Amino acid sequence: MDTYGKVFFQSDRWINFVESTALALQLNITLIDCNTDNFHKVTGTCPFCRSEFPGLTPKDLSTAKKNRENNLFEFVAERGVSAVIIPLHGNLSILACECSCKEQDGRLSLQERAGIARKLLTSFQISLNEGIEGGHKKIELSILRQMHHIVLTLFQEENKAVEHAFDLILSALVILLDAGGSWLTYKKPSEEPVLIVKGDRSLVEKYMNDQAVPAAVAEIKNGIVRGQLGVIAPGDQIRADYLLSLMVRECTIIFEVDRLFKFLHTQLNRVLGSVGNAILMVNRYGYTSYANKAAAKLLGRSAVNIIGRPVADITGPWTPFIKAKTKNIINGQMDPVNTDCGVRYIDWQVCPLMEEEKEKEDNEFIAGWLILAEDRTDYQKWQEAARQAERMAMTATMVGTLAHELRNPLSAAKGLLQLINRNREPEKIKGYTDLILRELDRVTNLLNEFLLLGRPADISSRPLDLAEFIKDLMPLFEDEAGTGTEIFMTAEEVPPVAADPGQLTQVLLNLVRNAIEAAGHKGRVVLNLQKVENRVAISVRDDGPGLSPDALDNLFQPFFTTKERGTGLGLPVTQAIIYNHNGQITAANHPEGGAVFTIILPVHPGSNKTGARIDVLIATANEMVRYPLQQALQAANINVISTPNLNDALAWSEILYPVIIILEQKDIFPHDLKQVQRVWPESTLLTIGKQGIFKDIQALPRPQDCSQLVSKIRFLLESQNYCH
Amino acid sequence: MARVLVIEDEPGITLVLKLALTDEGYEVIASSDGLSGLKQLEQEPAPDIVLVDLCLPVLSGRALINKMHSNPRWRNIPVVIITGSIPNSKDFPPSNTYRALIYKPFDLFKLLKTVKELTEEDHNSLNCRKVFYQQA
Repeated sequence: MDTYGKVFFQSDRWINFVESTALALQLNITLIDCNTDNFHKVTGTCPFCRSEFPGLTPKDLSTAKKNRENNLFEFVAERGVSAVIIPLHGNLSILACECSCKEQDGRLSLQERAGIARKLLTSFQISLNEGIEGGHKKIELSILRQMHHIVLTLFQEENKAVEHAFDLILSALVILLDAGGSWLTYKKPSEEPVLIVKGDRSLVEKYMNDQAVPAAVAEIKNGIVRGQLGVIAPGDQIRADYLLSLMVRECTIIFEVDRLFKFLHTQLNRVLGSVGNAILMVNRYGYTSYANKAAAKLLGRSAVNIIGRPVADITGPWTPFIKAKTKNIINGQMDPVNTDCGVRYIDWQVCPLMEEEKEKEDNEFIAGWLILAEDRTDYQKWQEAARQAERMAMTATMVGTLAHELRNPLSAAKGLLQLINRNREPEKIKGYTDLILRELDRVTNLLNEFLLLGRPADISSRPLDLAEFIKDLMPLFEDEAGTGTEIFMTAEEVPPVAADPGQLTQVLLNLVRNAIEAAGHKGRVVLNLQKVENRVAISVRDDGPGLSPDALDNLFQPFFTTKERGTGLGLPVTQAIIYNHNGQITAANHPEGGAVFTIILPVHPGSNKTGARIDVLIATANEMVRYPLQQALQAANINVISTPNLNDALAWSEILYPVIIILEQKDIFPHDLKQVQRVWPESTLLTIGKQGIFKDIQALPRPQDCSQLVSKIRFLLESQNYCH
Repeated sequence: MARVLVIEDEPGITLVLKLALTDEGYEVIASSDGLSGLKQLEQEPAPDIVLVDLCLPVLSGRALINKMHSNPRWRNIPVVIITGSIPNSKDFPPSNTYRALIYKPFDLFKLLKTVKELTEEDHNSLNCRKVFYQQA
């Protein structure tokens, strides 16, 4: 402890070091010896505003001492500035405060800088005290490192950094080398050489003009600025050389890297900015860290509103793969993405960016993702127009074919009627009229199926959980199968698809009927549900004779049929429906026998949770409930939407988000409730009717007086708001 | 009484024709595709009149009519075309190969009348080339 006391306050080296540190850290420092109450003010003027640092009063000193005893470090000096007391070894302290001019490089706070100062100064104390060669070296290097750190973290402006770096380098050399004095010449090209002198000036001057003194020279490359640094340290030139080169090298590299990085960043932005495809980068935490111009254009938002947000904010087809932390590159074509300008169709790719960590076992982990996307909406529109034109053309030829087909049953019916007119025998008449009726039914079926083919895409699609949907249809299928044919379903976990339930039912029924007929008595029909990349595949397989080559070619042609009583329109209609859903249907022979029909449907793009929020949605056909309740709610300033048809309401799930949904028990089945809960999982469901009919759903008695119901709803709304 | 060969794949129509013609006293043989129709033609005795649809499976009506016309055995058998098609030159046999062209849905009694006229006409008469038409 005594050694410390002796050294400091007398040692030029120490004072020099403290001075340099203070300047580098933009601190006003006062050294205090807590034993003797000696203090020494180290810096005088602020390098920025050139004004005197606020002076310290005796009161400040005693406050500082007290703080130190109590292990408190921050306080306000009498002049009103923030001050920090930094304890060093041996009952020494440093009082540091900032200049009030506040023209500081504000990256590090006063406390942080004080912390750095403490580290440097205490290391130096140890080094001075030890005086061992080995010890010296270790500490030298660590001090040098700390100086780099200061230089780099504090000063991003190149010029300042260079100057301060040199100052520090020189101070370090003077101090560490036991040099009484040293000076540094720095010559920039085409400028006058700069001379920085540290330490004992008299010693320096003695050698300054002596050209024979060896100098350590190093080049500083700092991007554009190049110069030569010459250091003369008469005490120990070899060590000076070594330390200088170390210091310069490290600073240079770091400057260079910094410059390169800035350059690359600008270049990267330029390149990515000009690329036509949308590029997004997502960091490992699922936040978007970069979006180029094309991405902003695609999403209809400025880059500022994309970057820094969770990538799940954008309902894109890549989201499930990012959530699942897939390690593969996933592609998709013509998939929808919800943007602020509506739905766009994109070809996209998501690539995980892998990082290698040598210590970890599974030595690759995902550092982030790269999402690329190309807007194909125009192409989609064009495709849709082409499909429409094709459909219309198809319709035209089909009209001809249909007319031809219709003539047959009509001809038979007409002929039979004419026979009836002539023939009065009652038994024969009954026989003829039965036949006529049958033919007329045929006409009707033909027309119905034909009309379906010609109809443009008119589907009310909503997210459909296929596993549930098909399960619900199984009784119907089993009924069709009868007791002879076995029918069952296998399914894996699949995401919901966008489909019209009515039309999908028709499709599945058609395929299952065909399969049942093919499988025959004692045959088997299997329905399978599977996820294929980012789509869902439904397949219907039978163990019948399979499809002939002729059938495989002509299956989807209108009026082609292998059945005696077939209209030949079932499969073309099925195909048209699937087509309208942006899906595909294929038929093939299964390698183990029988035929398999596979439907592929795209996954539902996902509901946009940022839909318009409304307080209450009333969906009931009962006007006696709907109207009065709606009036009452509106009078209470609660925003409400009502509809007599629940299906219509479900179709609005993309754009509406009701807090409370009111349904009438009489109108709905458990299936409907499940639908509602699936589509609006966070909404509160209320039913009007008897309690206990629907498990877990609150029931309200039929309101005699709407005001009670309204206050209950208000209460619910308020408690929701409170929670959120 | 005369033999009528009906070649039609639509069973409802075949039935109507069979009933009506049988009522009139004709002997009716029916085939549901072109090839079996041809086989029937080869049987003895040959039919006195052939009622044929143009859209037939296996062998088309047109092909059958051409075969009939090119075979001296059958050339003189009157052919009545009963069809749902709109005439398209490539689908139709040449006009000298048939004696009646009737569109579906047809009037049954008019058809019976045509059959009667064609089966009763004098083969050696020069009026043999009249062709009967019936619009739908």
